[in-house]
Amino acid sequence: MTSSFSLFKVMGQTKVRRINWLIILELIATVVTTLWTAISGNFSSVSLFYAFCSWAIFPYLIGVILVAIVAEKAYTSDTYRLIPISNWKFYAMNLLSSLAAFIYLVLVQVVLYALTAAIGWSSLSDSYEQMQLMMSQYGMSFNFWAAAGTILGLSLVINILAWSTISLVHLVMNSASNFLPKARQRVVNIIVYVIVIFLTLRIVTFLFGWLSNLMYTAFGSSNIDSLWLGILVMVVAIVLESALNIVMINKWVETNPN
Amino acid sequence: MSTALSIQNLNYKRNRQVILHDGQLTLSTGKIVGLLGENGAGKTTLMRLITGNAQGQGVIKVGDSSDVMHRKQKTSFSDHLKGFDKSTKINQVVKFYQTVYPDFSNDRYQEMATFLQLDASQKLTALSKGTKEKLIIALTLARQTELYLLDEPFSGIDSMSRKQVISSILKWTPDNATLLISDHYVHEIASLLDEIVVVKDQTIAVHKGADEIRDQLGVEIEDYYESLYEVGGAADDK
Repeated sequence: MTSSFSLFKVMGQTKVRRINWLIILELIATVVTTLWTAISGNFSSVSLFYAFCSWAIFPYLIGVILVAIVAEKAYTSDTYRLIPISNWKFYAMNLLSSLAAFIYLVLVQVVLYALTAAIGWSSLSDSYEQMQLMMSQYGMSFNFWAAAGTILGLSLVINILAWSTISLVHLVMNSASNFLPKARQRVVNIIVYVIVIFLTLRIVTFLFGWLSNLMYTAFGSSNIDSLWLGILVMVVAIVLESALNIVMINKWVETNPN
Repeated sequence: MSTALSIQNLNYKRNRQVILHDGQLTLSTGKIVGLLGENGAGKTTLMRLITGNAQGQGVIKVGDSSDVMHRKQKTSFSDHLKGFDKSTKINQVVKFYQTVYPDFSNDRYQEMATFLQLDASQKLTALSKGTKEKLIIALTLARQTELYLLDEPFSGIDSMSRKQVISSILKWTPDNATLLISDHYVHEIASLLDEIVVVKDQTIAVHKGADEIRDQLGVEIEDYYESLYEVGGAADDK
């Protein structure tokens, strides 16, 4: 039998390769923006940092989608589904390798933030000191590491929930083809799309409200229990969705023919 | 001689359409078997059902195991490599196989790659159809399993490549393994075959030995196969 680690390795490599392309594109965009700043005559030591910050959101957004595409293809690809391993391990390694690829992206981004900030530190240090002074004046005790850790943990759970939800939708549609003629399958797909869009909007609204609570918690003092309760709810949702996904893979999900 | 593959009461529907019904088949070890049938007859589906990548009803056993995971372990199927990016190089594909299949023999693969003149640095997108088929054959036969499923390995390739592929099949299929090879042009593989299985009318319609066809019926495999499609021809004669 194939070991879980071997599967994790090959799935992770494919996803990391996509992430690497994304980082290369981000770096090219950063360099081009910095060069444009220089040509415009506004160049300073901090230009590279600002240029990097302006592009940094895109790898996260696109990265989550790219990783999801690779992960979903694995469920219907002979190349992956021929591998002799149990379906629950297959599912778990797919999800874990997606998570590992995202953590890799975050780490690379942190290194790039640090590098570009170090280059422009002479300018940034003043801003940082001013910000600390302002926060102390308003009585806000900012624990950077605690906030960063919480945001990272939160974003990882949100990502896992997003991926397991995408899998749920994909696998429901694939499974439906076992039971429905093609015409009705399209109707089912439309219904599933509508339900998913509705649920996504509800979840996004909930998350925005929750994130504002997080920022309040991170900067000041508040009841942090509600935050962890929210994380717990998401973890329960991930477990339930994953259980359904594994049942569908076991019973109905087929690969696309050659 | 032990049983390599047994199929009982196999039924398969997709989009509520019957693709295969009442499939029955038993193959012994050490045979090269031709899986024949028209385009869309269900040959590839039957192979996917054997691997567990399509989910039908009935009992499929490879060796003595009906469990899907064990079937996958005991079966090497000619995957068409669609799970890889087109920019993937051959050596990366080989590395993938080495990582996920404990029974993959790199030595066997390298021998076949040399014989078939495969360049490890080439990308999948740069491969001709013939070269891609050669790569698929080399990857499939480099695994050491009880059952090999080759899905239309000669589809769209030139005669020289076809000869090389046939030579590789004969040279590298282990003696005690069973090989099921599908095609809709029987003359391409007739010389290889010990037995034929024909998928027709949404079921496994025929399973006969090559010698039985030649000696008892007095016809070549190609002629026998063609007679199955003639009105009033040999039919449902298992």
